[in-house]
Amino acid sequence: MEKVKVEHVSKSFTRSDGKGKTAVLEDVTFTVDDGEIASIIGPTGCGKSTLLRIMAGIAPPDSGRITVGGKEVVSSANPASAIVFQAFNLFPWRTAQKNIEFGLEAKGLPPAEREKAAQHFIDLVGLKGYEKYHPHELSGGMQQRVGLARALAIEPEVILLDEPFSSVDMLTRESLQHEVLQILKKTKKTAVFVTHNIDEAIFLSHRILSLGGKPATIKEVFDVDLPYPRDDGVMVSQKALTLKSDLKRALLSSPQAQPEEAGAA
Amino acid sequence: MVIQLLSYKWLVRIVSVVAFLVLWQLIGQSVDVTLFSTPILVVGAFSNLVTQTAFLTDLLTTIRDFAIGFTIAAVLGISVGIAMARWQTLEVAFDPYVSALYSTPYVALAPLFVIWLGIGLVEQLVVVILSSVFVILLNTFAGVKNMNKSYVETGRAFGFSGFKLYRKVVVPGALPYIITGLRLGIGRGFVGMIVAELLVRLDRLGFLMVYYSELLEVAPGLAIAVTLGLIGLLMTEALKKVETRLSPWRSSATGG
Repeated sequence: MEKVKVEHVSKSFTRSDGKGKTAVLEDVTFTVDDGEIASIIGPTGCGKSTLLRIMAGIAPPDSGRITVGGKEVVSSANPASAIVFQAFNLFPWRTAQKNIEFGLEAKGLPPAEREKAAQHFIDLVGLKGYEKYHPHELSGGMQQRVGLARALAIEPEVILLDEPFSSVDMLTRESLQHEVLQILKKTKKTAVFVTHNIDEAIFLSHRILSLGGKPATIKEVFDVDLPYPRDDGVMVSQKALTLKSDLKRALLSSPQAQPEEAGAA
Repeated sequence: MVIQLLSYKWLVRIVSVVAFLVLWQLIGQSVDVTLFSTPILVVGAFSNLVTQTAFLTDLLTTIRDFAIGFTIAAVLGISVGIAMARWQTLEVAFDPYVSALYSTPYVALAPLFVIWLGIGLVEQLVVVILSSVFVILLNTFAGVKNMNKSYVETGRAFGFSGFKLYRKVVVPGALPYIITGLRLGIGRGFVGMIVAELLVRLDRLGFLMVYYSELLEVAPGLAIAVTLGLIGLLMTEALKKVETRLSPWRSSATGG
């Protein structure tokens, strides 16, 4: 069953000199099934994040439509999706717990229910004991756990993750990837990752969509026919390696593609 | 660690105050009493002021007037500052006035205010408000403008909009700037009010200070000055406490 439908979405931005427009996305169409984990992969600056922001309802598309759980996304009021940001985007004046309750406040939940819900997700993402800490007192990895719990707490139909691991160090990144995958599986959430990291996309996804071109559109779709959990054995299997080189080719064939360091912003 | 740091801070403060008072006492003793005074004489003059004049009543009136005026200035400055940051038309329309009015020394106009408004509460309020409102407004405006854009985007993404977005995200995000504006506003407003008192010969502390200075009665003059300084200190410290409570990330970043 389709959970997310993106149909013929186009978006352009007015150039900073005010003269003319730059088309960023053109006729982007894809679907994500219920419970599926999909990754959108593409070079930096290709419009992946813009696409995710449009899906979250933060930015409107110029044309085309997006439905999440059967309902059209028209704005970010009463969001059906929740977003996890690359730079965490926590509110520094709120404690970890209050950050996690943020989306529930928008929904108008009474404080007692908010606390209870927040506690559940604090336990789930492994933040127990850190409830009263402010973001500046937490490591990057811990901050992103808060970001993840904040997104999960509103019980969204789909969770959108914008390069969620690229602001943390490599070791933290690996353990976070494992945990996030486990949580998504456990909660049976539909998820869309945006990343430029091929290994990460293979490790996480059921399906990978490569975005490229100028303006960008969906170039190719790759099914990741690998069993979970994707431990080291699976990741170096012949299938995985073939997929990896296919993905690399897809990324490099994009006209504006440029070789990229993992973790670049 | 925190406790050590705190007591270290207090230790330095106490040593600094004691050293200052000792130095003052030593210098004061070596100068003619009609030209300067000592802390001991100032304390004596203070108790005379309290027991033999309307000093305390005057002080309370001054504080009351300031509190009313400053509250109005804070509400006005913060709300107009936010509005100007929100609507560009307002920004474009108001900006030249605000910039011009910001650098006007209103105390100098106090005699005019007396002619328009009479002497007393209203005229004093106008001086306090005009002296402090623009610095609060400008800082609030800068706070909203310079706020990390991601706060608002995140607020929207999680379903906030309109007034609630402002209450939950914009105001707390701009708070460090707003507090700075209030802190500067306290200074400007309080000085403005005291100077206005002496300029319009309102029979209060500012006027009293000049009166004693002109009579070369140094001790009571300084007693009033020290009292006013302490009030300023108290207000600023209170605001710091508010800041630590409301924006802990910021106060820890600046070392309290």
